[in-house]
Amino acid sequence: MKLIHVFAIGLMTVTSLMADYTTIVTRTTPSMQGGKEIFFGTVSDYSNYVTEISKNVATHGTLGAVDGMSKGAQALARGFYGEGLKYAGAGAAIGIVVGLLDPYVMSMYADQEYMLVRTDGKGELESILFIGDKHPSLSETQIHTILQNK
Amino acid sequence: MMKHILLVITALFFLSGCAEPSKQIETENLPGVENVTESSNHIYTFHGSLKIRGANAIFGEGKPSETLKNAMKPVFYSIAKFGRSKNYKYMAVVNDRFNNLSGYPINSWKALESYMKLYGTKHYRPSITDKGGIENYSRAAVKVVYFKKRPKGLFLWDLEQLERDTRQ
Repeated sequence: MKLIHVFAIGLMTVTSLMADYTTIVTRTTPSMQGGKEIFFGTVSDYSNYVTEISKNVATHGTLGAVDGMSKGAQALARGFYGEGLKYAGAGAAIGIVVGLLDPYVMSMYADQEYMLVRTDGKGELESILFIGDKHPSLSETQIHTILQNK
Repeated sequence: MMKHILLVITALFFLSGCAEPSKQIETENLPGVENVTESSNHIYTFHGSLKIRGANAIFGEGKPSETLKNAMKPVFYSIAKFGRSKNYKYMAVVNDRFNNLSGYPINSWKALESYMKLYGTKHYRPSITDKGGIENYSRAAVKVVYFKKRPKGLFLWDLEQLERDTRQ
């Protein structure tokens, strides 16, 4: 192994050791146990996929054919609802109250914001939010491993 | 005779709540419940808004945890009280970047505390698009959608739990 390779590996190791991050675990139900991973990626991607799925539900009244959705949204929909895709929308019986305000929470940004989502197969979810500093950064693979072990 | 039977069945169906229609509730003074008045130390309301008085100074001193305690907590308490007073059980925050209906996972006061305490740390910084002004943080903002039933697949807030967690 060349010296430059040793140096590169050493640098990567030190970098990952210096990385700093916080994780926040949330669940849709307090009682969920275990779970199968159905998503890992950026919060932004997850939001886009969920929005896409919601639009599909709104269009069909229930989750319709997934062919028209992006691959990411299709995968997430299957993760949510299984191959049967029997989901009947979340939109029913909603009351809306608008209080609105200038954002504050929303004015923050993170250098690295990822999430891993697991499901118990019955529609309940568990999320682990990763918020990290990119100086130095962790690779997606490293973040994935961290979240899988939470 | 048949018409009468159908009428009775339809009436029973509605009375049973099975056919409860979606409702849209709007309030000019959100939420019109205790601890949210113009004379409050920290909050005042008008035209459907909740705004926090004093948050600017608190942020200026770099104490987001104090802001949470003094300002955001009563806001969320009021939101929980208001929702529960209307018989809602769950809610989603639907602000642009922080939208539970788009899958954002923060759904409890404890998690929100952890999240907001990151403000100003090396993990979270004010957005560069905010022109660097503390002024931008003088007003807190929460936009919510209430639910009577909990649809699966979404990280929603339990209003009863939220009320317990934010009672002061």
